[in-house]
Amino acid sequence: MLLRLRAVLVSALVCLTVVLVAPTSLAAGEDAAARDAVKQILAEDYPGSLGPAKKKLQDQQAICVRKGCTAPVKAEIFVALGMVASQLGQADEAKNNFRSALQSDPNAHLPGDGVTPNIKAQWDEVKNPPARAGDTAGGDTGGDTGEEPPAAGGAPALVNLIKEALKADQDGRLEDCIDKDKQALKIQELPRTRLHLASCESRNNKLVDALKDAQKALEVGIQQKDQGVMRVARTRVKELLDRIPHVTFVPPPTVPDLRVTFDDRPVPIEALTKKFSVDPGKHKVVAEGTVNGFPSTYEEEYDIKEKDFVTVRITLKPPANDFITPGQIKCMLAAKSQEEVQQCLPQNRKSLVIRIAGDLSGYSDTNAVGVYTPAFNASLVSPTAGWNIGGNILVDAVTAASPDLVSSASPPFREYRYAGGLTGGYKPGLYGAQVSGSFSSSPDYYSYTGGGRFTADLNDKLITPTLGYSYSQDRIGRGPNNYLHDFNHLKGLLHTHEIEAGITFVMSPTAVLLIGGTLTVERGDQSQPYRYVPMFDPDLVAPFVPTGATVDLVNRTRLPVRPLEQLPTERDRWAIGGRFNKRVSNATFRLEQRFYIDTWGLKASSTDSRYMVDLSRHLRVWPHLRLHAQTGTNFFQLAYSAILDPSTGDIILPTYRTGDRELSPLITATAGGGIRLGLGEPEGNAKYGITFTGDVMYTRYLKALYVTTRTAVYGTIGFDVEF
Amino acid sequence: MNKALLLVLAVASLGFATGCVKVAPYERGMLAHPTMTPEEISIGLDGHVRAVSEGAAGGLGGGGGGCGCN
Repeated sequence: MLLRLRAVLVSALVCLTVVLVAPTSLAAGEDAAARDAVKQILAEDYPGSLGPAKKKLQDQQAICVRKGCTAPVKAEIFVALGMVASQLGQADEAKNNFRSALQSDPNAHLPGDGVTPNIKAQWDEVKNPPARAGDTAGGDTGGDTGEEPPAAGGAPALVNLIKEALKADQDGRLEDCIDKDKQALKIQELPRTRLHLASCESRNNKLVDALKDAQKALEVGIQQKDQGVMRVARTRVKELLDRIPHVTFVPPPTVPDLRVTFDDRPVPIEALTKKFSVDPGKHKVVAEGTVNGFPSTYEEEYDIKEKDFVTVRITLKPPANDFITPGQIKCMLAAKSQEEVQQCLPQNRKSLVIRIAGDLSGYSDTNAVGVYTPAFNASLVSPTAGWNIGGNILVDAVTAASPDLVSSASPPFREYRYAGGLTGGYKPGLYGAQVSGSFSSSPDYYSYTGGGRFTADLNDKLITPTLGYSYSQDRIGRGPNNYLHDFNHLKGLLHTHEIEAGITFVMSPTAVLLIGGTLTVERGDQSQPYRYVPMFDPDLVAPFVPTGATVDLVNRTRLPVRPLEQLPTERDRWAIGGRFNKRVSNATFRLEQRFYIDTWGLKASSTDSRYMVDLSRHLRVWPHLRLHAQTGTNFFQLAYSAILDPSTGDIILPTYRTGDRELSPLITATAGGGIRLGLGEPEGNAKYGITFTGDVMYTRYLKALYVTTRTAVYGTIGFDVEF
Repeated sequence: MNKALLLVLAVASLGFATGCVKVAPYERGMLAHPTMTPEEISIGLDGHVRAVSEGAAGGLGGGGGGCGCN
């Protein structure tokens, strides 16, 4: 049986390849390859069933459709498929394939050899259907396919149009092919004609129309249960979906009268951010709108390839005219954004921007520390001249009754810290400098800092390095009620030199990366002058003091000696970090990571992130998360030991000793968030905003006396205005 | 020293890689959004709380001078 089947099919194929030679307008190589493939398929053995042969022929048919074989070769494949279907006992499918063969090539016919009676009968039934009123030579019986016969009087024209479309296809006149098929479809909806139309459109780079027509053919094929149409239509739809390019738009902010056209067709503003299917080729995007009172335009031509996904970022710029100077044009060309474009324009242009802000912050924790901080800052910026000045001032009102104080038998205290600073900078072009000075003053601590920073815009402002240096001097007194003139000059003078370097990289239109590092050199004694450190017997007590030992336990078990804290007088601190900002739709994701190490042996990692979502033009909200973990310094101990020198009778203390829990190993997790409410119109002359932030910070001390955890709550309410 | 060299090479590589990125002025609208600033964005006590509750400092934009507190 197998041998017979194979013999029949091979002989049929040979006849097909010899007999069905048709003129071709496409590459003869594709046709030859298709014929060879079909020959190979039919020459193979198929034990048990010809199903695999059918599958391979269908695959070859899909390849042929994609590569644009000539109609006669397509007809050959349909004939081969019909013969296989007939051998499989699938009469209806056999007839459908024969019908498709005749549609592809009206001259198609069966091979002279290897045709069984069934095949011949089915072929004849398709080729010479029983006469019926209104039927024509090229018409369809409608019996197997369910297609309605053409309307009386339209049938001859329909057949002629289909033939002319096929001829145009073969001649490579795709526009004519499309035109004729469309005319034919006006007379009668035939899914195969619709598929042929899709094929011509596809090869003529009209992929969107081709997809619509292939989908319609598939829909009709499904309705009519025409397996041949369904199979080819599905293949074509999938192929077109893979090939079709897409385009979307990013409109400029705050242009209420924006109008956008794509190839002269208006695009609805509310749909700009959707994904549009377009044909490959050149397309023109034109946008218009009013920016700062100027009628401004955007016009750009895009050469879009198959499978592309193009994002059109609309940046409106005013056209050159008598009112725009060459300098302003140059400014606009160098602008980074629509906002910077606006800043180049003379109308509504401010020569001076004033920003004033104030906030009130509060802090409270489970160690009975409370801080209330009103702060105020202001700045003047000249966008035209490139200079800026600013200043800030704040007051910390601190209350404390922590276990450290209790353990030292010191009463709770309240004190005020005053801090402030001034800054000024000048950046007329690509290079700029900023200097700043600040101070902080409380009854037992005075600090002042001065520094400068240089910055440059390189590589078309895509890379911005900065380099800075600052010097601080801290004078540490003893409190409470010890004022500046009471400072102990033998202790508490700290010099700090800090070098900072950073580079900002613009990674993409929506991503910025900052890489930075600091080296901080501290010289001086920064030991706190009222922090006593309990000492324990080295053998009998110290090894057994538990983490979180209570004030009472410590006081009962410690030695009578109670020295002050003593820290090393030199400390070099290195930190490197990165900050990555990514804008996604209406939100910005900010992620920071810092690694830290110093010569006291403290190593730390800090991770901070915010996801800031613009819910509207006036409302922004964000969650905030921060994780910090650190080791202790190499001299930190839970319980220090003092030893009595038997030869001298002196008590020998550890050289370095501290009770500072921030120098111990710890883990801190902070979670919170913020809300910013913009008041007034963002594009108005004056901008106002209110910001609320709040965080909960939980710290776990892994090796410390008195407390093992601390939970703190802090937050800020701020108001700012810019005009 | 080797670690420092690696760091310098990494940053330089990033610079070269970014050098290949071309972001035209008209494509930089999103970069001007206030939340995209590479500077620190926290307000109020946030920075001060970190300075006094963590043993580490610096990294991005420097750690400033002394915290001014005992």
